[in-house]
Amino acid sequence: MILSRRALLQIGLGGALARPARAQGTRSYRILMLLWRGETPVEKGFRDYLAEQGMRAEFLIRDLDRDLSRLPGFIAEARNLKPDLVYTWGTGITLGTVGPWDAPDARVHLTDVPVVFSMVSSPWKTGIAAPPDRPPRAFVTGAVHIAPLEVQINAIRAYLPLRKLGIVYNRQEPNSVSNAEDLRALGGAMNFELLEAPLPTEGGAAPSPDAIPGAVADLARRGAQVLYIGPDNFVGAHRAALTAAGLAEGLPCFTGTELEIRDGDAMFGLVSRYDMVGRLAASKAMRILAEGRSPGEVPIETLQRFSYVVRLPVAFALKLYPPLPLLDYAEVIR
Amino acid sequence: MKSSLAAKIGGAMALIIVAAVSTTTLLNILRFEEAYQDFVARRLHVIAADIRRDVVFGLDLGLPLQAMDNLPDILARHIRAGDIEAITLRDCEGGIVESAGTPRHVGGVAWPSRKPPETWRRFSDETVALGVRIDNALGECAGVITVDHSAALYAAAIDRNRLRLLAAGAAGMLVAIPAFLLARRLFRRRRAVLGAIEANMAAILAGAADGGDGIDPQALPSGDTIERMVVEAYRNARPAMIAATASGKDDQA
Amino acid sequence: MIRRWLLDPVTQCICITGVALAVALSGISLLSFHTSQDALFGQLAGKALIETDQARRRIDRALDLGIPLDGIVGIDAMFKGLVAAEPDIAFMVVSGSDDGIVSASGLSASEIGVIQAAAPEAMPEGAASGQSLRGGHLITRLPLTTPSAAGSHVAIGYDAEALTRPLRDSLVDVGIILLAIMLLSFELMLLVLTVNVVLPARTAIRVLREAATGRFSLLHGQVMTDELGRVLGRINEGVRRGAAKLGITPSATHEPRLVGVRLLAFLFVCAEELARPIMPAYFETFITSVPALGRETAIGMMMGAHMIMVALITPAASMLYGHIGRRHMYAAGALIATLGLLGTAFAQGFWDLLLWRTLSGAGYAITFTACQGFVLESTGQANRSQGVAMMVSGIMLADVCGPAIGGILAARIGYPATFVLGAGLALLAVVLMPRLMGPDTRATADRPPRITWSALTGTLRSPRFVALLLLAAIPSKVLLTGYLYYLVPVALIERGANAAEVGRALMIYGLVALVSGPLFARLADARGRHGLAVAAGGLIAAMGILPVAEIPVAWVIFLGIAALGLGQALSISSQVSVAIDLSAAAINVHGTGPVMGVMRLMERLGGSFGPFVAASLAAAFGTTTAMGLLALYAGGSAILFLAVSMRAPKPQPDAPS
Repeated sequence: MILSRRALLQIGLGGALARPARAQGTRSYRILMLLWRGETPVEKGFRDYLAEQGMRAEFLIRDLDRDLSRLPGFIAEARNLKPDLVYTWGTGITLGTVGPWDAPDARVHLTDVPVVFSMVSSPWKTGIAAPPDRPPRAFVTGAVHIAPLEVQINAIRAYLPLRKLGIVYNRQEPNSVSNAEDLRALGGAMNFELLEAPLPTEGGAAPSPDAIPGAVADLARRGAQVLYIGPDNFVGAHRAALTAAGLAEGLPCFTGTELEIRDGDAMFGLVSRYDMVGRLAASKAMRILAEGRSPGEVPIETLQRFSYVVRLPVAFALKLYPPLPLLDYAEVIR
Repeated sequence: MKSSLAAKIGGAMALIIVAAVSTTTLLNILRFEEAYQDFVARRLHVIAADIRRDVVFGLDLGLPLQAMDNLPDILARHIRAGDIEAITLRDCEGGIVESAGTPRHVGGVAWPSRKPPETWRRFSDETVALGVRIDNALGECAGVITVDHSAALYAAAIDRNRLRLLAAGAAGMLVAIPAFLLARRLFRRRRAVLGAIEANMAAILAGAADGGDGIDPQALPSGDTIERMVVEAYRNARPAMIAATASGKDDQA
Repeated sequence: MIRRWLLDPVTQCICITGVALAVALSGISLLSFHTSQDALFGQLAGKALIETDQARRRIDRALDLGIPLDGIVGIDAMFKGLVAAEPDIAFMVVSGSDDGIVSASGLSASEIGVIQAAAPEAMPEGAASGQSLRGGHLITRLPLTTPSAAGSHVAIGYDAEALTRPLRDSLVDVGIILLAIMLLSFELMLLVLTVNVVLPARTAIRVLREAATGRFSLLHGQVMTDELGRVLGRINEGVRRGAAKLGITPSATHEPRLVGVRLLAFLFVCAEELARPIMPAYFETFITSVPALGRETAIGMMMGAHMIMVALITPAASMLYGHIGRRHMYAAGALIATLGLLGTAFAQGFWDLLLWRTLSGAGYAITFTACQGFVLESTGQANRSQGVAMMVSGIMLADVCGPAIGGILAARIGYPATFVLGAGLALLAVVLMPRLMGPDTRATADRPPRITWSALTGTLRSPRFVALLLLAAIPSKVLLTGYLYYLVPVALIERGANAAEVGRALMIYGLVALVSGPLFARLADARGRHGLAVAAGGLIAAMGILPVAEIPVAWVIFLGIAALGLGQALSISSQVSVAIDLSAAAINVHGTGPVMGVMRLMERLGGSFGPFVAASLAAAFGTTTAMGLLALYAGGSAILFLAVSMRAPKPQPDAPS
């Protein structure tokens, strides 16, 4: 009786949001980039976005080359250079640059220059950002490159039904432990069981990659349907061993980061394209520089859409063909 | 001026029927146009959404609109339908990136510095079009797809059906004719009774009253009807009337 | 007596009009249904083609990736996605090169087989190749293009109902419109016949009867040029001669045109009722401008303003009636209502809207009083109840047609324009008034009842009368204003209804009351159990409304509206009888009119709080729970009233009834 026929086709009238104004004028901005391992596609996306928006910028590149001990020197340099904005890559550099939200040290950290970070998976948990119920930090904002866990679980379920999710991780990495805790908690709300196989660590020594196949076999025996690859440095480094073990046990691997699927044998993943993350960070830099907003007013965000990537040879090997609706938006690697 | 009761009542009835039929026809036409517009808009939306899906796929691969080589194919796929005049992909400032068919306008949206609405439709004499916005992964406007339906064909379909409905309405009005005739017949029979009374009364007034009241009992409907009561009252009053007019004549004489 | 008059020719004419309209209107609606369906087919076929092509491309892509046809997963999921966007898609089927079914969604493989095997039906123009109409479905079948799947097809079947759905959805609209148009046509036909045939004939009979006694003192006063007019002219001539002989001057006479009161009552009530379905939603848009009042108080004030003005202005208008006369009073009232409705349409903010609403209420009360006076002046004791019934039937007709037509209009032309239209109706009433109301006749002593202070205090001293007020009359009005006028539109709009659907729902109330009212009145009169009828009416309404608190869906709301109509029809006419029984002492002193005036005043004052109470309950507990709570209040009151009236002594057999 109450029809929703009209609701089918809404005549869109809302959504009149202001687009970021095109940067005009001749002013050129100086942006200091603190990088972990040289320029990546993230920085390319960052530069492209600013160029497309018509902003003139001078980039000062400082590469830590995977060595955090170089950071204090660059920070000292930054104080003299007085750039308009500092760009930071990854959790380590960002935290080292801005300090924890509740106790930044003005002598050690940059506290009066706008900082835009990229490639930080969880700024709130690592203390880079103030908790959601607190006022945001005045000089820090940035782009998160990991899809929320919930979204990742939904992505798995778009491919296959999920009741038991297996995870192999290194107990020594706090990031991995907390990730496992989050998944366990989410299992209750989203109706799946998390099966954990922490790698054995004897006497504080780092785990051995040789333990990975055994851990995967154990998960397979317990009925895991998918192996989840989290933000674990050890597992990341030995991803080939993990995916191979999965393949042997008939277990597909799912990942939330790009590397494991582009340069590994994970079957599927929901990832942010690096240049998109760079663009997102650049859109925040735009708002600060061109619109004159305080970083505190510009929310820390993740992308609105993530790339669903399917590695077809792995899928074929596991005889798990991607479902039709997924092919509409999934990037298929043949 | 003489007028006929039968014509008056029959005319009123015909008028009421014509008014009722016109109103219904008007509402039928409005209802059809609403449904037709809805159907066209839904079809255009399916086309636009289909194209949007492909464009978004490209965007998510990191391709800017300008670099999508397969755009002409994607757009041309739907132009095959004869009544789709143009399909256009624009950037968010309204500049045409790619188009198939013959784009005629910008779809009526003020582009500069405003985010176009997520979907809109425009149905006017010159334009029958629907547009959808494409967002990139950052949630920013990445482009706009407009699908133009031929306004002439749309108007022709509406007009054709409007004519049919008007014809149906006109045909419906024809029932006013038998209704009018029937009502007139009904009152004609009454006119016989009224005419008899009038003639009889005229005779009385002229002093030429005879014995009867001149009313044919066959013409009187059975039952307790209004004519019977008038006739009865007249019959009862007749002697007094004759007396009144007759004695009046005597006085004059 | 009147019924005998109506037997012929009025009934016949109404029947002819009815049959003619039924044939014409249903005929053209059916025809439009079919031609519209043909015109829509092309668009549906075009859409089905795109959707099928999409499905084909997806399957081709999967095949292209190397997935075997029988290994494709997610066809069902894709189908669900299609159906979510287009509920009329009935099935999708993928068939292999041997025509064997690889996957079937929506319907079972065998069901689809039966449909596909059915003989193709003739199609309207607009279909592409690969499309056919079989077994009540529009089937679009496209071949897969991947070489590895040569000979395979994908087909999507649309339920052919999709074509009729948008038209069928508005079929209820059509029915309502037809009903309203028929009722209005009858009304007009009745007016034409009464004025042209029935009234002159009745006068003629009166003149003839007078002449039959030889008195010749009455002339027919209506000038007409038709056959009836000519007869009347002759008769008048005879009367004049007879009178001249007697040496007297006969006076012209005609029947009072009481029938006009139907249209007059219809017009002023309809002017207000047109906007009934949209009132809560429209008023809500003004609430934000007065944060200080609080939403519930504000909406309560706005909705209650009309009722409270009716309560207060009616007694005042009754007092002025003798000085002003019905014609001026009706014109003034209708003009004030016009102004109020126009102002409502163009209101700028909360306070001026409140002013316009009070004006509308005042206008309503004044026109109501004028119509009431018209009835009282044009009837004697013998035909008074028929006169009142005539006015009530006009109001009822407006209750049925107003919200239904207003709702459909509001959905098309917008809220303010609907109020403007209401103003137009009120103005039309001013224009038609001189023809419909006839000249003022101040001869009779019957006037709209005045409320005197002593009548008020005298009446309110009777505890049973107060019980009737508090436990029956006020709860009735609270249900009307709080439930029907406020909660029903709000709840239906919450469920996605538009103004037309709200109007249709509100119409149920008028329709049920219109049909069941006379029936119940007769039943209660025959049984003489008025107290029981009042309590039963309250209980029926309460029990009908109550379930919505547990099952908050649209049709349960409709059920509640129907129950309210039934309950009010049962209870209200009996309330009058009970009031008269209960206040026999007061009536002996003050007369019936003032006592009834007190009851109307008090129940309307109580009823004006209905929207406020309803809005507050809805804000605290949700709309449907608020409905349930109001139902509990009304039901509890009815039970208490039953208890009180059971203990009351039987009314005196000679009490006025």
